[in-house]
Amino acid sequence: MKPAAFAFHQAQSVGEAVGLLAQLGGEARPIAGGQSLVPAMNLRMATPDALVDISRIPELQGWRKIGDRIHIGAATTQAALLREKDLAEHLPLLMAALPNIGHVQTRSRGTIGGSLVHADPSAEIALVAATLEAELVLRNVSGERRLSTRDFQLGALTTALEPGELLVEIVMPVADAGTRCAFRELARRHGDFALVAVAAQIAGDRLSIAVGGLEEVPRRCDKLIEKLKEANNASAAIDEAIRIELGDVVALSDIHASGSYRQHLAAVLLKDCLLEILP
Amino acid sequence: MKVSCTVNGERVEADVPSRLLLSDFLRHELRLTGTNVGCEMGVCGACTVIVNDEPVRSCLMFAVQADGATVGTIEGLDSDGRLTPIQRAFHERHALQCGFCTPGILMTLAALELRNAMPKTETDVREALSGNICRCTGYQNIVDAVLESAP
Ligand SMILES: Cc1cc2nc3c(=O)[nH]c(=O)nc-3n(C[C@@H](O)[C@H](O)[C@H](O)COP(=O)(O)OP(=O)(O)OC[C@H]3O[C@@H](n4cnc5c(N)ncnc54)[C@H](O)[C@@H]3O)c2cc1C
Ligand code: FES
Ligand code: FES
Repeated sequence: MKPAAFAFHQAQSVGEAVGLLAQLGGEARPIAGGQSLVPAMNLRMATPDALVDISRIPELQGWRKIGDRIHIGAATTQAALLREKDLAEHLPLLMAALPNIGHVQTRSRGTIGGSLVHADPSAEIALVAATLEAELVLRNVSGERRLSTRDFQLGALTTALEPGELLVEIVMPVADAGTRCAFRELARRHGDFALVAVAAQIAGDRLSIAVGGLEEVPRRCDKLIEKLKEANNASAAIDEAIRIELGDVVALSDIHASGSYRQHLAAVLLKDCLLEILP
Repeated sequence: MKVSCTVNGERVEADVPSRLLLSDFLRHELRLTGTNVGCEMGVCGACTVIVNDEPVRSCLMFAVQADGATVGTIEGLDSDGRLTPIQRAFHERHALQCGFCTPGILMTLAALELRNAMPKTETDVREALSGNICRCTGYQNIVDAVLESAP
């Protein structure tokens, strides 16, 4: 058998899950879709001594619209989200990003919350969450706290989640009518993690844009947004704005792509997205 | 731990260690060796089976997580001993050589068929099968076979 032995617990509610995590202690881990955790366990890079399965907890499934926000249960699978046609109207950027995550088989089980907690630098969901300034709801036995994506994802594969804490909900703002969005990524093969990805959205003159895969966490392009704003979002200002944004970047460099290639790709994809959505 | 599920229409009950992968449960316990195992880390797609109407990597699920589920493997694809239209198209188009990837590909397609989501263009076929690696065919005959069997 590939993974090391562990005790398995099927949680039926969030209360039961956080109770189990508190009681089992440090080496217990939640398992949602298992699409990142199980490969790590099969390689024995992860050897939790207990798993708390949260994939069947009804409270963690599906989405609701409350006012101008969409609340998504953390254990909703990527495939289930893709089947929600109504969501395309409210969260077009998320819906554009989802088909790029892995393959049809991994999306059947992989969840939105699992992806955020795994916190891969190239993860599409983390990129969309950063672009839309999503809020994450965390719960443990003693209560609940809410974090912005910026305060949640601290580095590559590192988040502010404490042992015993569960990500329960992801809250994203509803796209206004007339919102335009673009999602672009380049991966070596279809379904691989992106080398670089860009997510962009504009509603009225309010632009949001971020790059994933370039640094340890998605980079919200505040300088680019500022520069374009000064130019009334005129497309003639795009090249200069990208140059300023990427000027101080020290890009990730690994076996898949060098830092300078990633930087080049970021510029290309940023421009593609901007040309697609700017009026 | 106890697991009870339905595999290819038959009720199965077993007592398994929690760390037993669904792929190993199917192969070693139930002797359904049509489900192949390549990478055991979610990359190759050879182990694809259908769980509750969705295509999944059986190497990335524990058998205990299939408790209460309906599981379909390649052995259950043709209930009356006759090939399905897709299987026939694979045969006619020479869409397999060693055949190691074939069960995973056929189960992926069967799951898409269940949801009326069969790919209809070459791009869509290649995208739908991006999670199934074939080291022999170069994919062209697989793409042709899928397009041919699409209604
Ligand atoms: C072949 C392959 C290709 C892939 N390609 C991509 C890709 O292109 N882009 C991409 O973004 N991902 C990709 N992935 C990973 C993606 O499929 C996973 O779904 C995702 O990274 C993790 O989600 P999960 O639900 O499977 O989480 P799990 O694997 O179950 O868990 C991941 C981690 O998060 C923790 N966790 C999970 N849920 C919670 C929660 N609610 N609260 C607290 N902790 C939690 C777990 O303890 C674990 O540490 C790929 C995976 C494979 C196998
Ligand atoms: S053996 Fe499961 S994906 Fe390769
Ligand atoms: S036919 Fe040999 S791997 Fe596909």
